[in-house]
Amino acid sequence: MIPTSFAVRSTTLKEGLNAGWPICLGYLPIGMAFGVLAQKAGLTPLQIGLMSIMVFAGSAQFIAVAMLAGGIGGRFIPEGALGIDYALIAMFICLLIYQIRKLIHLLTAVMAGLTAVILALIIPGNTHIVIASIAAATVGVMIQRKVMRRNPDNG
Amino acid sequence: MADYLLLLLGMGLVTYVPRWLPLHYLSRRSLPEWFIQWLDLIPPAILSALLLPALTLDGDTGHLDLLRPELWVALPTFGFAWWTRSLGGTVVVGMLLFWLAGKVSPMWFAWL
Repeated sequence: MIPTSFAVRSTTLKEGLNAGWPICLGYLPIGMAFGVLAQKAGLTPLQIGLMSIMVFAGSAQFIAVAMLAGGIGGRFIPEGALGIDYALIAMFICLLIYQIRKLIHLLTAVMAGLTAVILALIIPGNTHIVIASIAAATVGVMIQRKVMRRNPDNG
Repeated sequence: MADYLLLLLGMGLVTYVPRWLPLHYLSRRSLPEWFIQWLDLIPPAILSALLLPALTLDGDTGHLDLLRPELWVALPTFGFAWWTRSLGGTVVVGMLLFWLAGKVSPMWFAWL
């Protein structure tokens, strides 16, 4: 170990904390909603905490609790006060904004969103998300490559 | 409890492995240029494909509804995110606006 490694590690840790805290904040209400629901479903606090530590997912935990509670399948979206329902949506809005770095990202996002809405009206389930994303990204790459071939300077 | 731990172990595996595998294998490999461009477009595409139906479709009936507060609150929330680039701030502002939107009765606008 070189002597500077501790300082380097400490700044890396700080950068990680800086980048990570808003996501923790965004998940706080969802975590609380999950805790309330899981306890209502009959899980002990220890069981609830263990699931959150061992399972690397959000929605999968809600589905698991819904299934453990007896009703297999079916949507299980918690109703919350103080705009809790909007926490995840607001987080996704900001994450989407972060992703819009060039015009092609905006174009792809618009195509994916509109396609997803249309598909969701036609096909049941959640497959519309995957189909719309893959289709929009593919069309996006095709547009990008066509534009780049025409004028390679401003790709 | 033993059954439950086994369940958690299984859930942990199926949620962790698909996230770790691509990260582990793709990070040390050089990929074709078109594939990198495609991967670069996937995050905005997925986020938008998740968001727009959630904003415009009624959760219970699945019908298109452009008057939902979710959609109208999203506009200032998008603006806030665009100008501040703050994730924590956007979450707080979005929740606050959505909570306020729930307090507003459509009857108030009957005179319009």
